[in-house]
Amino acid sequence: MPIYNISYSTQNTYSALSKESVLEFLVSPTKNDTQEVLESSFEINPDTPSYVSKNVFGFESIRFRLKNQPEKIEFKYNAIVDKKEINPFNFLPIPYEEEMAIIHSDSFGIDHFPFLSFDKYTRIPADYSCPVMQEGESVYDFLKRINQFVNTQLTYDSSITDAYRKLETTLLDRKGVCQDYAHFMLAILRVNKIPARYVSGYLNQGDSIIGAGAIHAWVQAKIPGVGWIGFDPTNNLLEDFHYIKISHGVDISDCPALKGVIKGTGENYTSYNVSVKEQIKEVNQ
Amino acid sequence: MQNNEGLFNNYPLTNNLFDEVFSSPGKVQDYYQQLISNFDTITASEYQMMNESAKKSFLYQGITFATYNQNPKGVERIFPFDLFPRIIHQPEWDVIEKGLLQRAHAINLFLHDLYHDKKVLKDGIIPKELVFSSGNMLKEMNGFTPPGKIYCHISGTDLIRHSDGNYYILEDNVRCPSGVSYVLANRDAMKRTLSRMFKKFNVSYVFDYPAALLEVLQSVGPKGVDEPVCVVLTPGIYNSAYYEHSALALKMGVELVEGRDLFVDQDFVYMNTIYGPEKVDVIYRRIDDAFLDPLAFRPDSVLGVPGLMSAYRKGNVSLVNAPGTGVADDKAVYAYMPEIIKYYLGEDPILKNVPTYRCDVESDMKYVMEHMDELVVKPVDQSGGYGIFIGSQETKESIEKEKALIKSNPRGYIAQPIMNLSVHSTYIEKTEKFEPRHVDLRTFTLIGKDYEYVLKGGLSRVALKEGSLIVNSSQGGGSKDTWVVN
Amino acid sequence: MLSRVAESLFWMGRYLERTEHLARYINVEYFSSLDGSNLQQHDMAILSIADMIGLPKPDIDGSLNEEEVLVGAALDEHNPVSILSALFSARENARSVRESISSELWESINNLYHFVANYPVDVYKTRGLSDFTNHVLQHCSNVRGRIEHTLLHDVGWKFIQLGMQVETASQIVRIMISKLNDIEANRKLKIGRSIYPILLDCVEAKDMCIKYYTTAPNRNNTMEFLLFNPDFPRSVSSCLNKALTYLKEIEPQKGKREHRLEFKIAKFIIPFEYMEVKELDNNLPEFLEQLLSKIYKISDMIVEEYFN
Repeated sequence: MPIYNISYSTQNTYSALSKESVLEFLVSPTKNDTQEVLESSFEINPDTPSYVSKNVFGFESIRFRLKNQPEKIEFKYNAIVDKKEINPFNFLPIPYEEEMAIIHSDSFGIDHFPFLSFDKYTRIPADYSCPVMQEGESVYDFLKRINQFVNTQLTYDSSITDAYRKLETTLLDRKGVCQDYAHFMLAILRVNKIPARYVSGYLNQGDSIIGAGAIHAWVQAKIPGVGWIGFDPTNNLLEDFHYIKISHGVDISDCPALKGVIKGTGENYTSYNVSVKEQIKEVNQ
Repeated sequence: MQNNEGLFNNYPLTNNLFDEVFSSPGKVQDYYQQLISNFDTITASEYQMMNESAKKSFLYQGITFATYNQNPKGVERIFPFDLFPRIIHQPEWDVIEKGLLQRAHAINLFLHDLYHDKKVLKDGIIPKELVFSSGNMLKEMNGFTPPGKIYCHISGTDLIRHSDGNYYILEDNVRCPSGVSYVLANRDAMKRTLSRMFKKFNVSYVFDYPAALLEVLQSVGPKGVDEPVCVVLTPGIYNSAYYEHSALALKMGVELVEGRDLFVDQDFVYMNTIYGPEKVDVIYRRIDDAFLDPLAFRPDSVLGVPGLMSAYRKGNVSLVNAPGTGVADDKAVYAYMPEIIKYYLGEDPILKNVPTYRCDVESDMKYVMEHMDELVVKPVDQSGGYGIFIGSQETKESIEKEKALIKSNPRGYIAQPIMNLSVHSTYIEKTEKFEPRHVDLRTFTLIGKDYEYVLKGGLSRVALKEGSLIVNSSQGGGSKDTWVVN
Repeated sequence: MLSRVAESLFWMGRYLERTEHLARYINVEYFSSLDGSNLQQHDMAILSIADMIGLPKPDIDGSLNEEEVLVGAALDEHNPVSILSALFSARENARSVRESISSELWESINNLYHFVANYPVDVYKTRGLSDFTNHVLQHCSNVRGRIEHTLLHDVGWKFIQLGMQVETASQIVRIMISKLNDIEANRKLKIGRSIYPILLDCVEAKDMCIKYYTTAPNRNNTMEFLLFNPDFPRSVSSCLNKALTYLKEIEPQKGKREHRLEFKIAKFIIPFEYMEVKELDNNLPEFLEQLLSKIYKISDMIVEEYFN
């Protein structure tokens, strides 16, 4: 059971004074069957009253309001998370015919609104031939295939700074960062009627894994009879105990680490830093 | 009619159209008899004077179009108003009223179902794609129940009268329907200008609308709040409906706020007052869903209040109408409204729909393609009369163009037979005579917790251009006072 | 009361008052100078109007275009201090608080606006100056009546009054400064005698001033009357005292005395209250400039306290 020390910090610099602004941070790991938050704290500089609110999918964000904004705002968040070493892929799939019957049933599609819908992040351009499930291919096999497919179709390009790129743009230059990989995979899965959601979170840094040092993004798909299972197309990996989830949503617009509403003119520059470190657990029982 | 100077002299009758005033040349429909004989004693010049003075009163009250954007200090236009009222006979009105309430209740049940169990989709009453692809179904409302399960507190349903003499529902408006302030202002101007005539008729009053609206707002306050603080939220003085927002706030005696007056803390909404923050419980919002909360919807909205949706979902503030009601007044969903009423209430619709062809249904599409010249084609996601295509008035080339447009996006269009909107005698300034013009009727229905109300009459909208069927004020329409008369 | 509403009411009051002062100023200046013994006096009046509305001073030899100045002062929508612009602002503020004021008040303001906005420029230029300004003044007193008689005399009303008093005080001081400048610039003409009655007319104070002193207006009594007379409602001291009273009534009586706005403002203007004209005589222009900036500061303090 690894224990992680997680820290997220950001500095916002403004070129002009704004009258009022509201900032929202969605950076706290969520509690679920596989992870537990042992401790957490945050700090705002200059000190500002804040509150915790739940978003539409029930994930907690930290919000605060600034009047006559200072030139610089710092936000630091720390948490200690206990992650269970459960292997989510140790499951028995239901028979193929049953699986297909569920996938193509109306009620499955209706119940999973809005994780089957398309918007600018997840709409496949008309001229792109989208991969489809093969006859006899199980949902799980298809998911693994697409995870790898998306991974090979795009080239990782850390110079992309726009977190809100349309899928259309990604497919034009075949480059992207984790959001783009995730959106591409979401799009293919939804075309194939597999409910799929966007996930934001922290990734325990390994040497060759992309996504450390920033908030990472991956995909969770609903396998009939099993549940939501996670895939990381950026790294062609399956979601295991290295992945610490913050939130999920329909796409990036539900899950950005920072949302800001600023009344006033002027530019705004944000820098941030993320670190995830595994604690060497003291054994003193 | 003997008077040669009479305003109704040489009144032209059009074949095939239902004239609400004249059944045939010189023959007046029964319940207009008295009105006509009163109007017939007025000379053209007297009438013109009355018309001018009514117009002035609108100008002075500031009931004007905002043409501000182009020319802030420019000449202001008033919403054209016709002094000759439309009469609806009480027995007819009773049916309309019942039909409107039936529809409003069905729409609320429909919305609650869509945002919870979605049985209507699972039972195959409406294709799920129709709802999910509309873009009007808000995930932010999924699983959330507003106070009293009411989504649509205010509906502005548009009716027309067909050549068969029956009323039909043309369109549901359940987002932020506007126009009610004109009903109140029109009545005011009428009473001042034609006071003597009112004495002879038993005209149902309309002044109780603001009180009824306030009752609705107060009935849906958050749990545990006995005397909710209600406000009207406006985009500001440059919005074309600003007059209405301020008039309703004034007549209800509540604050008229702009987004910048409000803020959210700990999921509660407050307004900035001179003595500090004051909590707000119910917001009658006159801004669109997309602009309500920049944290939840359009991040570039400067009209809204950051954090409002979380406060709403937590039940700390009520929004009227609820967000996400647009899924119910989508023109493609409209076509299913008879089935929806039947499904939830087990009743037949009291007011009929205009027959509607859905271009995403194959057989309907085929019919539409073959009968373009007899149909009116409407985009499903536009309001205000924009994008309406009337086949009979178009050239072959433009019909072909429209066909291609429909084929490229079948879900985006519906088609209806050209309904002969009834015509009504309307004073035309240019000819200084009364002439028939097409009219429709916007009605206003309110639903609160254990409370319902229909404004008696409504706004009769007139297409002032000869032969035109488009009554929207943004496209050169005017209005008439509407009398429900015993 | 919403801060935004209070702010709009305050500015509505200021702009309405400004409209009235401007109209009266044009009227008095123009007509009083027509029969002067010296033609220069009429030029001076036009110059003075130009100065009031912020037109640049012409070169010493350059003459002003009279029509241009008169139109600029009244009907020029591009000139931010014309009657039309002041009225436009008053109306926009009223419109944004339409639900907080009576229909009667709104209609009278709206009516006045339409009267000005639709006044034919040609008529104004050739023969309508008197008709125009008199009508504006009549409309203004109508508006004033509606403020008095159709509103609750509550906090919102007090903000309107506050705006009006602050604006009146500043306008009186501005007019005084302008007139002293005129006298200074035209020493040779010895126009002082005719100027003081005009100055008093600009604030409708002449009759009462003569009645009070039973002597013709001169520098001393005119200044004293307009600055300090406690019983004349349009003296600077009356205006500021009324403003203070309203502020006191608006403020919740809690917290430390010295933190209250009324206290801060009172302290700020108190030396003025107990001055005499003879103390000022040597540096009257300087004193008036300081007084004007103090009045502006008071407005800023109100904005800071209640509207931000």
